[in-house]
Amino acid sequence: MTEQKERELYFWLRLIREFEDRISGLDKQGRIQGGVYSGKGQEAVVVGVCHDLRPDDWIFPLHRDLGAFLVKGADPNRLMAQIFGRRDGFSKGKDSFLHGGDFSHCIFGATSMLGSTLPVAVGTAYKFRIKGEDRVAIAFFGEGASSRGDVHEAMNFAAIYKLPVVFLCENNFYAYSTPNELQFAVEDVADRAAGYGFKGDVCSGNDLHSVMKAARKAIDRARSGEGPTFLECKTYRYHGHSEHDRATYRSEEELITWESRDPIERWEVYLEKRKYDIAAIKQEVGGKVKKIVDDAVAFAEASPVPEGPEAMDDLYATPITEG
Amino acid sequence: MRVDIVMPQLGESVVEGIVVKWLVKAGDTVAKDQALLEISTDKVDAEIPSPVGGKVVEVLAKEGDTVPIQEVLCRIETEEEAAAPPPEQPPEKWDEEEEGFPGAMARKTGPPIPPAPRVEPPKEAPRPAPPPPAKEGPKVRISPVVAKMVSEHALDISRIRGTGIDGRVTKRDVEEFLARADKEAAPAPPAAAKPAPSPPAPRAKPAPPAAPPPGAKITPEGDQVIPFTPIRKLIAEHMVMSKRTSPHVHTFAEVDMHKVVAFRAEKKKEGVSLTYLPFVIWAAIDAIREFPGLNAQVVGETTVLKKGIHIGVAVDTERGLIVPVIRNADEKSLLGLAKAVEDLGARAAAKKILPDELTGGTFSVTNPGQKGNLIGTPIINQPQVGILRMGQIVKRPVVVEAGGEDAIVIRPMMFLCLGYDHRIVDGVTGNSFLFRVREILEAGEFHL
Amino acid sequence: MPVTYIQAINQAMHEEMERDEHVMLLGEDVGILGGAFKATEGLLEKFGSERVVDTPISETLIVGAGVGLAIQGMRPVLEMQFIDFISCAFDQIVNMAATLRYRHGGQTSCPIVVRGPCGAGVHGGLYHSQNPEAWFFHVPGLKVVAPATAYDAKGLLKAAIRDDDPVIYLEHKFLYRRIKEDIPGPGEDYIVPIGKAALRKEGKDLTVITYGSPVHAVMKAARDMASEVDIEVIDLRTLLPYDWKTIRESVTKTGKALIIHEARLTGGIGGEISARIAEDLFEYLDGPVMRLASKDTHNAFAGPMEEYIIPNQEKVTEAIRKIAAY
Repeated sequence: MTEQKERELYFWLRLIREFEDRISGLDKQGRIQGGVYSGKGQEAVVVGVCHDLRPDDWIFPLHRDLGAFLVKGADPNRLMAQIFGRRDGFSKGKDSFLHGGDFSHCIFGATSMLGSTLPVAVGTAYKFRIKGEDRVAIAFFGEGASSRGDVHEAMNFAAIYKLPVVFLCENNFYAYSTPNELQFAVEDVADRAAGYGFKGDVCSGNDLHSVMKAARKAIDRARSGEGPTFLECKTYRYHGHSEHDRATYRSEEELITWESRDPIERWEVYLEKRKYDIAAIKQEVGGKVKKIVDDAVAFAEASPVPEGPEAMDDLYATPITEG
Repeated sequence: MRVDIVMPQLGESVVEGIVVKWLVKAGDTVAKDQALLEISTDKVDAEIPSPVGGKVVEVLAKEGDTVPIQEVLCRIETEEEAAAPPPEQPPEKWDEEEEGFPGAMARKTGPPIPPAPRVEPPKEAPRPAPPPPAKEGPKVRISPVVAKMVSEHALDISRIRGTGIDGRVTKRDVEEFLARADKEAAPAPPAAAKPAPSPPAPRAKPAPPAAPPPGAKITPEGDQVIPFTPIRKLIAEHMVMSKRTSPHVHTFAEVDMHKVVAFRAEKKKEGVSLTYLPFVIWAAIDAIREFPGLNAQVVGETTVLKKGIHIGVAVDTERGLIVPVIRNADEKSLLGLAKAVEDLGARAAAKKILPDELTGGTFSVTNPGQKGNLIGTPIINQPQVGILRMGQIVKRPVVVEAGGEDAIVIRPMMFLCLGYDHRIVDGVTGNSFLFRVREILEAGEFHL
Repeated sequence: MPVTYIQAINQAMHEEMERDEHVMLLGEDVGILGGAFKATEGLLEKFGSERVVDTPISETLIVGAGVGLAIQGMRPVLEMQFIDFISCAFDQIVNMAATLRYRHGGQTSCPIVVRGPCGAGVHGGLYHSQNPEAWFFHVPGLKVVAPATAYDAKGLLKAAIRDDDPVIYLEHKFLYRRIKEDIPGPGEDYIVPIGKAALRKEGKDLTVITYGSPVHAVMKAARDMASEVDIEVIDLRTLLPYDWKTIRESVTKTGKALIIHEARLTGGIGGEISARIAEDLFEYLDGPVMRLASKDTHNAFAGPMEEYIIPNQEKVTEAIRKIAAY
């Protein structure tokens, strides 16, 4: 890996963290409304998977993956406007957070029925296959969504046609409050891959190297026509399910344990061992990401609040007006 | 016992099957479940096993026949008559109470459905025996459209014969009542010019005209007394009301119509026939956009400038003058206006104007036509505040200026009279409006 | 040559797949078998297994993958083997497809068609007789169509495939092989526009608003009862958005409205149309707006039960008499 690449990855990790922290702060200040689902602590997963996807590869992020938007190329300003529910957001205010994707960067907007994007990702991958395009689709889902039927139907179909899709499971140990052991009886969700007839892999989602390595293999496999991979990244969200969840269902000790495995600090240790001037890098990158997020907030706050009647727009591509 | 073997329904959407091959013939003895024949349907090919053992007594369908489902293919006489279960005949049941319309729902397997009982309206002279409280009895339910028609035509509902359920007066009853009233109100032939006691049509007769108002004299000889039809009554009331309500001012403009005439002639060559009226409407709409004060209404002590421009067009009919409305006339092209005028005229003649087409106008134009004479002063159609009347178009020598020189030419000229409500339209506005209408007509910048 | 309703559907699929290489088909048993009802017969042979996809029994996948294909420029037709199974794909239709354009602020559209056999009267029982239109009628972002004739079956399917929005296409299995019509064949391309009702018969006494299978019962009643009552018959064809203009013009004229559908009464489309008439056309009404629909129970199997439930010919006739007499 080149130094430039290593620094770029660090920039993405820090930008996402800055974005997440800022949104949590804005939420506490009451400057944004609606649900805020922090992915703080899970940054290495989205960076490791998305950092060298091609612009025409498609990603299907879930509600906690705003980092995936950023790394895939979405404009931070528009992303912030989206979170603010403003007219410049991807949804133009019709929904907030990550329910509006950015099609110009091949990013699909999820619904709240998590796991429901997997069949869509599979349909997209099917098109890539029949049109002979060497593009891939990355379907993100939590271990919570893995219990849903959509996930099963999607994986089964993808296996039959060896579709170019990566099923990227972010196992952060809790489906809202429900721990892994109340969700499934296997150790690793990725074990299920065998039941479909494709490869399952597990990696540490807090270790960027580990994610990058596993993701590389899965993406290459998809792109070369060898079919899907179930890649499970074990990770942890520092915050509750949403900002309004105090997460009393888990112990402080558990949280501290995971904080000690912080993906960004790990990367800093790595950069330090590479003998880079880590203090200078931290300062430089810190200033840069702060500026980007400052600008994004300013942009979002200046973006118009949509008017009530705009709620009737964009329902139909070919509306039929009443005679 | 005889068992019918029928064409089975092999699949929900299947309606018929083809007999491919008979595996048995009449006279054969067959065992239960023995294959009888092969059939083919849109969905499957199948052999049909016999439901009973016995002798094939009759084969009704030939190979190659297309047979609807449930139709008999062959008949089998079973050996043990007694053993055979009686044919299943599920009792047909129809829960009339459940249907919620007692007496009307026919039994499924009953005789042909009898016509639903139409409740006869009370006879003219109600039988004395059980006195139904016909007049001031229980409330008569009136449908919204009947209520509306009754109020519009100022009718007395108790005089209309109802043919609906429980003697309810239906929309059609009112329509027939009005048609009858019209006919009766038509002028009687001169020979039979008998005065007052007009032919007795007691029920259909609208109340007010039946007797002359007190104080009116009936001249003994030769005079003809024609009672007001409902529409005449409405016209009369409206005219008096309008004159009483609005101080009318009338202003005249003389319009050189030669460009209209030329445009019209040009379009006629292209096969498009236009009358003069739509041009004037078109010009009026254009002028209204500049002078919205003419497209207004007085409500209490306020002036309401109307948003929509709905133009009333006076149409003469057998029954009297009516003013149907072209809605959103400002959204129509010249051709659209022409068509609307034509449509209203035709439907007015055929009495097919709907009640709500006579209301909601915001400005009116009237064209009395070829014999409309030079000038007339129209009465405002309330609650509007302006009305334009077209005079006869007459060729006249006029002085025009061409190349700095005065010249006399022959031009088709028309007097246009604007009547307006001086309560809210001042002279300046009225004059400017009319002047503008004239300018537009003379400029001749028309397009279909 | 006269074709049946189901042949018309088959023709539409053939012609559209021929016309546009982006049109494809996903469903259970649609390829090798040619569909449980033979609606998709011959497509696999002609267009190959990449465009005619025999899926596993996975309705959610069928619709979800359809959305995934649609955002990549394809125009998938998604078959529910029986429309009853559409409830398995409810989330993908209602939350995924119907909101797709909306939640993306108009960045994309969702040209999918979900079609399948609906309807009772064929001894289908609970899970082969349903009429689910009301569930989808309630969902903005969807269009719902229900043809009653072979001509409309073909023209509406073609229109649905060419439409950029998700369309639920309800084909009535009772009609599949019961009606035959001469319709334009291949090479005589036509569509039936979505959103336009058909005035099947003009009349002055009352308006019957219907769609799907009951259209035929209503037309028969109109003929049989011609000496008693002059009925105007509107075949809605498109349920969402329904053709209010045609309804308004007719009811304004006749003053009476009867809505007939085979789907259940309570919460059905008739309720919505009835309310709209009462709100907007109150002053034109010469009687209460009435409805005839299936009874509020499940589609029971046994013959007499099914007859009891659905609006059959006799009930249609009675309902017309009742409103005519009012």
